[in-house]
Amino acid sequence: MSRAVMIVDDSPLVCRQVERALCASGYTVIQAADGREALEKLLAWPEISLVMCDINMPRMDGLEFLAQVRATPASAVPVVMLTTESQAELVRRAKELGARGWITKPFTPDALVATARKLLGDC
Amino acid sequence: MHRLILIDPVASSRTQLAKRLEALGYTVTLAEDGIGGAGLALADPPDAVIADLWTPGASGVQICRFLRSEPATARVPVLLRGDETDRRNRFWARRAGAATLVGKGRVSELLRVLERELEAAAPERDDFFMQLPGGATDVRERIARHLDMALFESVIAAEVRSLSSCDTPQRLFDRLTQFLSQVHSYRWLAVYAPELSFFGIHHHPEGGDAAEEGARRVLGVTETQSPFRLEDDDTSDDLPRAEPIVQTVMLGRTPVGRIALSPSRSGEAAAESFVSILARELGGPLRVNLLVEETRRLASTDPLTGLLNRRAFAQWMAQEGPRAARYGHDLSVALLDVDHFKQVNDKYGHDAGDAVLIQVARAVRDVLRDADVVARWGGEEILMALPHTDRVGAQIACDRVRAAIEALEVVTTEGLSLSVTASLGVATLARGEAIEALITRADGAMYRAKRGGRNRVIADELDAQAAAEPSLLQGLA
Repeated sequence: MSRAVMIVDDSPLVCRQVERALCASGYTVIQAADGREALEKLLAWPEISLVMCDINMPRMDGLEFLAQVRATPASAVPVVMLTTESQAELVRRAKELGARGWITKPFTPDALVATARKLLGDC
Repeated sequence: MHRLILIDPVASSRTQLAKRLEALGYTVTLAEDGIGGAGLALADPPDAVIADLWTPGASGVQICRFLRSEPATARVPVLLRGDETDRRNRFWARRAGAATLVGKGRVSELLRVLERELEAAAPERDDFFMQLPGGATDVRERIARHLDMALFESVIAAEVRSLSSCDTPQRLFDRLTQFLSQVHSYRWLAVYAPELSFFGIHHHPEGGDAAEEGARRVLGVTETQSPFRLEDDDTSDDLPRAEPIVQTVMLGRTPVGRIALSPSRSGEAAAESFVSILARELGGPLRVNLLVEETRRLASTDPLTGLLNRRAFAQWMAQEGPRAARYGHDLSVALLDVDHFKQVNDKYGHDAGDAVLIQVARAVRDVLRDADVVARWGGEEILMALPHTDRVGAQIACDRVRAAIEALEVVTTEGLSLSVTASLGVATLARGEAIEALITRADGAMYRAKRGGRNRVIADELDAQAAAEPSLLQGLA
């Protein structure tokens, strides 16, 4: 069974990097350019079992997305923040809103794969 | 099984302890230096960290403080190993939030604390992690940033505490916001201290009304509380994005007020922790103001009736008398004496006398305007100052007071019902007249009211003559 990871980022470059890294390890990758699109896709695609999400995005930012996901049937899908930000205050807010982890950009493909394995319970 | 990170620069003691821990069933990850160990802990938070007090790169205390401040590891217990007989070591370990500091030789003590901590932390565990891209460099940078933040916080805390020297809430708020707007960007900042009847708001010249409305809402300010508004270009005129942050200002366990801040865009991320520092530190200065206020009240009021005392009245007159004279405002003074008060005391006792005074005082206060000043002048005498009131107005006001007292039904503590009357003498400030002379004239008029049969209002004759003069002149012209 192919389990999908959704990458939410307004930078197409970042989306492509994530896609390349995770596809190489056998994951399907779905892309969304902002929080609102991500929310729609998350509800439309039950295959999505992990979300990697930027913070600063147009229309709906990452923290708002986190807050909104909680009120949907997909609230159990783990969300990991993937961002250049790293202030402890922001990290704390994301954690309080239910994020499962924080990856600070720039990331290595290995870090992404390790995170996906850890949260999806694959080996 | 529990996962541990063990940070120890000395290879022999590291492997020795690791063996012992592994034998007990723990999974142990080893690190030679604090920075590396901290990076590992962030990326994959363990159940506990055991660190040497002296590790290269960053000390155990620094690592401990850092891990406690990071959301990913805030709940991971940190056990420090080092010389626990040194008081300073013990102090810093405790301050950094370490679970313990035990000597390197005392392994069984270490294991005992470890077991206890793992048990206590168990229900709170979460597996939130944080990956940093650059490994050690990033950890070092974060520790430095964290130290900066700690320094920033302690400077703000000290600065806010130093405001205890401000003896009015207005001055306190002014100094507070002058300082705060230099170190943090916000749209508005408001403080509400109900017991001080103080509601201050610091806002941009544009949008002061919206700021006040928002602050009133989040702080729960009563409608009758008037605001103390400070306009300032130093505040931001961003459009609101995030909700205002509200916190209760505590002194120990007692709430002494509330503080709210509407963050600007640039100040949004750090706003929450900023307000927390303020809420924590502002309690002292606010409490000092409460005490000053209370002392001032006690020093200026009569404990029985709650009216001003003689001294406070004299102070008011010394300030307002010359002002009225200078600007040509009318100022009248009336002296009230309860009729046959000695008989009440003799016949029904002092408690009944006190009840009469308390209720007469309340009746006077109820009849007069807020701007009028009422004081207990002596035994059963009440002195009133009526600003912006001429001879005729004063007589009308005094007669209302007289009628209200006559209508009173004083109930004593023993349930007796008494009725009382009062005699009043009125005088209006004449040009160039001294305050003492004015009060003496009111006193004289009061005695004439007594002699005239009591329960009446008499105006001083000098005023009556002065009032007659213009018509005399008119007649001559």
